[in-house]
Amino acid sequence: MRICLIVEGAYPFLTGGVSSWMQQMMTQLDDVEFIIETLSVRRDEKKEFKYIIPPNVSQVRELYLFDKDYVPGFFQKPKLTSKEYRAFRSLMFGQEVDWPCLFDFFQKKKVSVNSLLTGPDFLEMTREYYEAHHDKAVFSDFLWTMRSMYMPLFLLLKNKPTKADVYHSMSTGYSGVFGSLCKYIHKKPLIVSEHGIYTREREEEIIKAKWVRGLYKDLWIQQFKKFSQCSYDMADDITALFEAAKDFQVELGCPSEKINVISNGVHLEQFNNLVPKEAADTFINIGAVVRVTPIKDIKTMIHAFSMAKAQVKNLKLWIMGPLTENEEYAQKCRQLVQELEVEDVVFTGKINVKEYLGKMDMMVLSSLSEGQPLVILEGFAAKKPFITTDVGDCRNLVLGLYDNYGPAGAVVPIMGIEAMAKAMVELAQDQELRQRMGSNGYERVKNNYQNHEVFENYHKLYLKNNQRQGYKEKR
Amino acid sequence: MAGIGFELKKIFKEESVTSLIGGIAYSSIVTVGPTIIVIMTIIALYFFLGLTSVSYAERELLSSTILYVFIFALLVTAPFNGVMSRYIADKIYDDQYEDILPSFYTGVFLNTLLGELLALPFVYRLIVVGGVAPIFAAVTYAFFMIMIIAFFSMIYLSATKDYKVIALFYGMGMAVTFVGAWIFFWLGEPVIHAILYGVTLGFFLIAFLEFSYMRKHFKQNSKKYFDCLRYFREQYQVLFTNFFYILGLYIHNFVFWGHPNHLVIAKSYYTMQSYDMATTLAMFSNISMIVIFTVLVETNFHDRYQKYMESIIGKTWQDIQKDKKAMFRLLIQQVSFLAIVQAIITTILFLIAMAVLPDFGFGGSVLRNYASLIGAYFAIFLMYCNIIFMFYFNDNKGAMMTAVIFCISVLVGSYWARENLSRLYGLGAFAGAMVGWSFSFYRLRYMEKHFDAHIFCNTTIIERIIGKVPKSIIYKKEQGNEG
Repeated sequence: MRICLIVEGAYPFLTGGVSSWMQQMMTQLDDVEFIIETLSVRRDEKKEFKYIIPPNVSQVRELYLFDKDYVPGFFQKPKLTSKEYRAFRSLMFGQEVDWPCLFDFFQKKKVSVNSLLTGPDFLEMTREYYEAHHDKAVFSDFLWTMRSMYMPLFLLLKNKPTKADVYHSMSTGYSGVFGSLCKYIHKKPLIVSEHGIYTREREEEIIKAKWVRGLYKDLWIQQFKKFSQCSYDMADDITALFEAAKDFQVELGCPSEKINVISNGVHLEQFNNLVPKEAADTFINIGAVVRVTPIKDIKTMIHAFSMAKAQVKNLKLWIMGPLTENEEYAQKCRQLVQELEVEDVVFTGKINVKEYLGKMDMMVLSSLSEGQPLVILEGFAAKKPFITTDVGDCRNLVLGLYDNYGPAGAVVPIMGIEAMAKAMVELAQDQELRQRMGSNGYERVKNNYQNHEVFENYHKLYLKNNQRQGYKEKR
Repeated sequence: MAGIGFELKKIFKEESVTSLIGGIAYSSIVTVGPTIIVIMTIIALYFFLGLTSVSYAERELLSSTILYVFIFALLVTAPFNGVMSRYIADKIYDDQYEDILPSFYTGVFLNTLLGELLALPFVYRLIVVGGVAPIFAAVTYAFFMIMIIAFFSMIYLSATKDYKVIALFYGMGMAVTFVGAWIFFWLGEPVIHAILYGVTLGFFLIAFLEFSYMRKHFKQNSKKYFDCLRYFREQYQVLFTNFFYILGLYIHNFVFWGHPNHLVIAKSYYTMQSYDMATTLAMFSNISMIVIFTVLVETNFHDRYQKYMESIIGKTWQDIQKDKKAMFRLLIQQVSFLAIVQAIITTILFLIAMAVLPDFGFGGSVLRNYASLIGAYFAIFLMYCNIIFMFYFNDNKGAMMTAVIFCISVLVGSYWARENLSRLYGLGAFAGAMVGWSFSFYRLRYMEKHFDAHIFCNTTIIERIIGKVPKSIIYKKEQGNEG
């Protein structure tokens, strides 16, 4: 059985939840052959593999969202047929998008994306859309935004998909659309897994983004919604990490009968023999396994730590994760530490977490958005209590909404500096509480979030889909 | 010609009849002034130096020499002038004035090189086969090269926007021609030699003054001599437009130089006097159209065009459409106005010419050719105006197609006329010119219809590469990690 994993902006170049999860699954399901289609930004970017590719992965191919417009020697200037025009128009207007027609267009015709985007047909449909919705905007800005918005999608759709038995996209978005294309072309089933809710994550990003303004924010958000809808419509099975995520997917237009809730899991045995805290270490160590990026809201964590440290002098904060992803933000975090004149904050950079985890007294996560963070499960596997913001499935993981193991830490509001500081102080001052909560977390993971069970579920899903007929014309 | 707009606007501010006359007079001086000055000078010299007393063959040798030098100097510089004008305009826009002087040197080199290739074999033939005095042939050669440089320098002077100075230089040059010819005549040179030397000297002064004025204006030299060459590739459409337009203006003369009744001077100059003279007259009967057109475009149309371009950059679709319609409405109004006014002027000039020319010794064949050619030049200049509009709209392709179609049609038409007609020879050129004008008219209508696509679609968003997509497999199990 050959599974094609389609992933956007992660494995094997970036570490993080999705990448680790992929690595674990591929390692675990060693009787399955995997190929990986990884979506990157540009061809000429220098990138390093951050993972050792498991032996059952036969190929990794990069696809680029910003590439040159390669066209064969002889190509015709794209004059759209009326059916194709309607399909592109439906894409722009976001009304029952005729994706199969679009897929056929990009796969079967010799298309120059440049000619298409600068052609009269694209101008005409842009004008129609503009007059219907945004006729007070400056037209040339509008046109250029539309062109730049559709360029990555169109370039992506020109790629010929690799053959596989089952396609598995790691998110909706571009990889979901490309998965849909693979399914349509090779008539094989598609599974879409959402670790976070892609549409919502992009929406949050765009709202905050400075590169896009005014009405164009809305256009981009709509664009990503269309991508998700395509993935939801075309997928045979969709997975969510937790119930609330499933509800969100349904709200975004995903048919609930397609959704399987399969949580994350950890390899419990790997956390059995961690290096313990040294007896001479008089600090209360707070660990944060995070990439130093704005979405993780490290600044709130530093502020909270500073407040807690004012009350408990022997606190020490370990921020364990790469600083290179957003160097400007990492620098601002270091500056904040200096401005607050708070001591004992360590930025370790990328490290082997297992070497540090045993030495921690508690863990913290201040994210603005999460799915079902692996770091919480790993913290619990190491019997560490967890303070986390109330995002994604964190509340359920820490407080155990569906079991009786008891709380395994504290849940605080997003950007809740005081609440986070208070929880740090409480846990720091009560060793017995830390141990009890750590133990609760351990029990929860042991009984509900074990790796082999999780990936077994995926294995079953692959088998089920492998026997299924692929794309059907009328769904 | 963007530069004269400002001056004209000052003159047209009051919109009175006097200001209208002032505007037209100004435009006349800067557009056709130099040509008129040259012709007046030569006619005056013919008269004062008693050219009528010299032999017919000698007189025709001088006329043919001047005719050939003018036509071929125009033809040689035509492909360079359009392209280099673009280069200069872009450099001025980018504030890179230091690149202009080196492009002049490169242009002069290329122009004169091409000129040499044409002139040297011809001069050799003049002396060896035609038996023309070597000194006369040598000065003809010098005259030709000087004319090439003078015509080429004109575009650089136009870039300085000091049109008055061009007219002034031509005035000074012709004064020197006049005086120089007198002196050579006084020193005992034969009349036709004296006139040729005088004209050559006059144009040498013009070229010299143009060059020194240009040096004064563009002081710095970046020494990027080859930078301008890429424009010949990038702007090949402009190159062909200019070349074929100028060629089309004279190609019917070339055809008639092969008529059985042609004249051969010094076994080298082929002319068809009745046709060539009629051509000159027809051209001058219509030349005012270029003047009126310049006035109209530079004052009203340019503003409307600018307004439209501004709305493209920063306004809504509705505003863009409104400004587009206004611009094309004005274009049609101006072309119609131009055609009507010129038709009236041409008719009056035609009637006067028909009444007066016989008294000056112009025969029936000249007048018959004139009557048929006058319509041809009317159509040609109207077509030229359309070409200018195409350049405004950046429709270089349309302009090139117009020029090529025009040139070929005139060639075919005049050839047909030469072979099939016994009089009214100009009808061939007229038919060809009508084809050219009709194409330009329909091209402009086509542009109007597809203008939005033309404006918004002629762009590049991503670089296009002809060829296969490079492989992007970064890991294969057999080969191991390549990433």
